[in-house]
Amino acid sequence: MIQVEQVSMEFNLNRGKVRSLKEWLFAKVEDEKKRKKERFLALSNVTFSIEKGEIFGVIGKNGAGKSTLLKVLAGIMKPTCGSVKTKGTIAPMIELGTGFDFELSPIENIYLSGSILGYDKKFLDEKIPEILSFSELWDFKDNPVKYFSSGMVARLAFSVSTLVVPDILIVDEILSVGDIDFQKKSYQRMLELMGSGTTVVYVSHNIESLQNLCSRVLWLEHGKMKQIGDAKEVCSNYKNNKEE
Amino acid sequence: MVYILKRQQKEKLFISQKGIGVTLNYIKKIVSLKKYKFMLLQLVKRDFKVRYRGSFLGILWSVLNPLLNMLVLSFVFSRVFKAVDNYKMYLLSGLVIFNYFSEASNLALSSVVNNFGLLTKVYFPKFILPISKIISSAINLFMSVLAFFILGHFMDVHFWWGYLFLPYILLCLMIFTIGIGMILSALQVFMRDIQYLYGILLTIWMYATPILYPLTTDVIPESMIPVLQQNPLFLFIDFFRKVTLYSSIPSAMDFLRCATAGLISLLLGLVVFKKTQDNFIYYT
Repeated sequence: MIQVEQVSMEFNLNRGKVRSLKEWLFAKVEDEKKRKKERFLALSNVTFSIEKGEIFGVIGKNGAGKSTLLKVLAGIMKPTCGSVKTKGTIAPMIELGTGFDFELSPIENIYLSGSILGYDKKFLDEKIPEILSFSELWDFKDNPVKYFSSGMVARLAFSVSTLVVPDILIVDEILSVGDIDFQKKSYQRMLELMGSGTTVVYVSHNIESLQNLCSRVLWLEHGKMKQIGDAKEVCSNYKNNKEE
Repeated sequence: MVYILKRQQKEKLFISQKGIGVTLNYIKKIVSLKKYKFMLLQLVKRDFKVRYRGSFLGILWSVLNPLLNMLVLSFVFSRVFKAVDNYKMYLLSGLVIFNYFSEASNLALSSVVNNFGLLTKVYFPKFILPISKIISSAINLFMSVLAFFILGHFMDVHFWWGYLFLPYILLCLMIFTIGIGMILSALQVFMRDIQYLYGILLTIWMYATPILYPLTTDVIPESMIPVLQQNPLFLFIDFFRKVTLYSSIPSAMDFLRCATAGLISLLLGLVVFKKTQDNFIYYT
């Protein structure tokens, strides 16, 4: 389903800095050697494969390369070397609220965001009542989202992102959304998705939820694979390592 | 000899196979674009809705804006350029075309930079962003062309069958603008000065295009006329004026030059955009 072979991702820290003409002109004068040093290996030589229907977890500290890995999987970034092969539709939930325009109403946003996530009109027409019920926003369906509380926006965003059962679901820590009731509801929805045969790649700092949900877990450290295997084993190792 | 022949045949076969591969790839690409048509539509709709939200006259501004603009300018300049017949309509025709180009290219310029939030979250063909701006501005263009027709009705500019050529020139203009918009949007990612430089360039471009003034020897030095005639925007405006103001059919050469200007710009835009788009994400 997903095959990742020897993927490395290198960032040039100088890249992206030059923004104005003045800086560009003076950057030319700078020492070339100094620039070469400023490279950062976000992922190095990562190889693994995920079976269809598997729930695969990724753990690691901040900056270990988890989000970069997800972005590479979702096709947003091209790896510096190595290859990623995926089969089927991918729904990335790297962040919630993809493409929301706060001037628009929830319904307009569902169409906008849904279209960006790759769904067609017919499908969205059918799903709108379901989304509005799930996010509990029927009363506000025609008000611009800019007047919403952040919890309301998050509820809407979560409902849009999880409205479909994709072949591959990429999730970056989104269960902590809204109030406690909604959190329970969204957790339930995730379990539903995961139980329906979707392949899930799930990144979280919450070791317990990883242990409960995933079959296998990959532990990343400084962009390298520290350990991969049974969820419980990897998670307990990670925990012990943290406590030391 | 036989060996060579065989090899040639093999090569031919190989080349044709490769050709099929390439066409297949293109077909795949076009099919995948169809998938994004709905997204493009939604982006255009969004622009349209947000643009006039909260304004009292709404879309009427698309009609009023060029008209008011024309009134102000004609008040100032109609005495200077007395020699031009129907100066108000002459001015308006130039403004309609140039304003579209200036608005659409400016919006396209910032389209990628303003949507970095999207680029870092989902995969989609990035050129949809500048193209959506070109299309949403085109709605404005059609409204102002409509305003031109309506005013023209009272100002001695009448419909005739030559108007059937107007969609052609508007299409050329849009294709040209797409190309320029793609180049600008890509460059803007790497260097944020582009928007300021382009602002200045647009002002120069506006005065270098015969919008306010006629292209005659009493206004422009004779040696400059052939230079100004190379301006693609002038080609479009001139075509438009020939059809509407002078009720004449542009020459075959005019048709060809307009299409060429559009296609060259589009090609350049595609090349620049394609070469740079994978690096956009590092400059967020």
